[in-house]
Amino acid sequence: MSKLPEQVLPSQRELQADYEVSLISSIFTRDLPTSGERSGKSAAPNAEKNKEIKAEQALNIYQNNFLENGIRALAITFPTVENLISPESFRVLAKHYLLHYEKSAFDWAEYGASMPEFIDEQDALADSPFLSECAELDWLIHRIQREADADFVAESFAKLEITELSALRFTPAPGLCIMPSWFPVVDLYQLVHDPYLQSKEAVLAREDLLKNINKSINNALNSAINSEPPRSLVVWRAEYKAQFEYVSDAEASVINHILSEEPVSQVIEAVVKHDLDLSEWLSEAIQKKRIFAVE
Amino acid sequence: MTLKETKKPNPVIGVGLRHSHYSDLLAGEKQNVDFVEIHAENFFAKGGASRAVLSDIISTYALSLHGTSLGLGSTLPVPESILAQFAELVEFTQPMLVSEHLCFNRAKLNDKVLHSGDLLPIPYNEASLANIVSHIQKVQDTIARPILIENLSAYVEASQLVPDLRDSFTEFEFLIAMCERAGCGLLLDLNNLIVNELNRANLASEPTSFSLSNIKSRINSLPKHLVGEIHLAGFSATDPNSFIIDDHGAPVSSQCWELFDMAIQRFSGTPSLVEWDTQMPSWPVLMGEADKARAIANKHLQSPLANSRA
Repeated sequence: MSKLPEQVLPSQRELQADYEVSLISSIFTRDLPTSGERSGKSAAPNAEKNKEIKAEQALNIYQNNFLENGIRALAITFPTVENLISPESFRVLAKHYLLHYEKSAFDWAEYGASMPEFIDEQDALADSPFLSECAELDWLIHRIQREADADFVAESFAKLEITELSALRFTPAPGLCIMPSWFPVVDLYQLVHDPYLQSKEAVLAREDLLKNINKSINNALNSAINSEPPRSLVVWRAEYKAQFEYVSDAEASVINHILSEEPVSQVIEAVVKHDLDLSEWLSEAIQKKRIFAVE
Repeated sequence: MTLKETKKPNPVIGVGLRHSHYSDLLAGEKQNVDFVEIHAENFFAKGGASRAVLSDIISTYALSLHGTSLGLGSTLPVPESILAQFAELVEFTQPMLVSEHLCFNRAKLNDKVLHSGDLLPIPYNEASLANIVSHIQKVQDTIARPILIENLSAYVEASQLVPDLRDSFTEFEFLIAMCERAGCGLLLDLNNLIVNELNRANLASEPTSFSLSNIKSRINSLPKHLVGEIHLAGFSATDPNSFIIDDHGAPVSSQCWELFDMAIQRFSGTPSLVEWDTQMPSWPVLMGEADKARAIANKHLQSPLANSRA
């Protein structure tokens, strides 16, 4: 082969960029190595072959590091899902997810947003139709617990007495949102995270809860068949830990008015329209710190 | 804050702080460590419990902030949003030390930047040197202070994937040139040197024996003023003829203690840290490793050979 003229030879910087693409793409696109390949045990027939095998083993290590780091990170983000399907099954799920969704976020904590949809698409998880919703709740909790802190300004609510309501707006708690829910995700969350329910003394309570959960799952499946609307789960952060509970459709509608940054006057109109008791609604919203201030 | 201002007695010994040990560190009386090192990305959340924990940590302990996601050796620009988060954390914590790695971690594939979530090796040539120096300087300009760069454990050389990409420096020549040109310091990871040397010996085409003296002579080539921190760690045992994985999943290895004994004599008083990241030990076990490091460092502080820094 004739030598290329010097000006068309790629620069070291271009070659470095090629190398970066080559190594990164090998992490994301190559087939998973067999256990023999991963352990790096191979006899080398000659030096050149040995060199090739070593490079292959090295790429396996980097891909394995990526998968192990990713599985660890996803287990932190989706603890309810991991607990419900077992750590072993979660490893399989997480590995498939990691190979399906490329990691474009720098921070592992920002990776995993599509897990609920991904779970929905897994035939192997068809027997656990509630799992996708649990993943959605896990993701919301994870995201909300990383939101910026906000000051709860109790004295600001005095403005409601003295200021024109159309000039005021409620400040929602960090992460306040409404999640549609068909399945008993609150009970499922409690089942795996409540320390008492994990104790030996709680065998009967756990059995009762499981019965309720199974009943609710059947009801949810029937509701879906009948195209009934979901319930509303409100999720927010009062202090450091995310809170969540079911609310009525009326309460959910009012919260949506707050999230739309409507003036207090319109939020109150919604409260009245839904036949909610205004002072009771306001006192609960403040006491549970779903709203942090009025400005 | 500077090291002198902390008025810590020499030696300066720390531990890598991971989630499972937060409560051990913060419970009861102050622990026998001079500083703790955190991974910056574990505290990138804008608020919530992790920020509150961080406030508690820095109210009692000097901090080393160790970045793992800037990928300063990448040919792509330094990611502005991550740099801003990193700088905000430096501002918030006012750490004793700030460090990152000699690595890249991302590449553009089909117009999308993909991120490995890992520390990947770079080639050692003039172009890669100029590249990383400019990125280090950008970080230093942003946070208005010098940083330390950690040498890497690596399983592949760039030329194995792109044969025309050649190294024109050895690793240590590159490290020295990088520190001198960028005005940064070196975080000397002894375990990474050992892992690389063991892998070279185990996987060489021709039978090669592992020798700590090779590493020692390289360490002796480092100008004393460049080394700003030392890392100690262990690795899990693997089968012979396999790559050793730098998993920080075991007690500090005997080879690492031997190297530390030599290195802390040369770089006397340098902050030294025990890292343990997988198969986490109990807190007392980790503190035991820190005590061992302190004993070795103390031995050399009493030696008349110590404190003669070039």
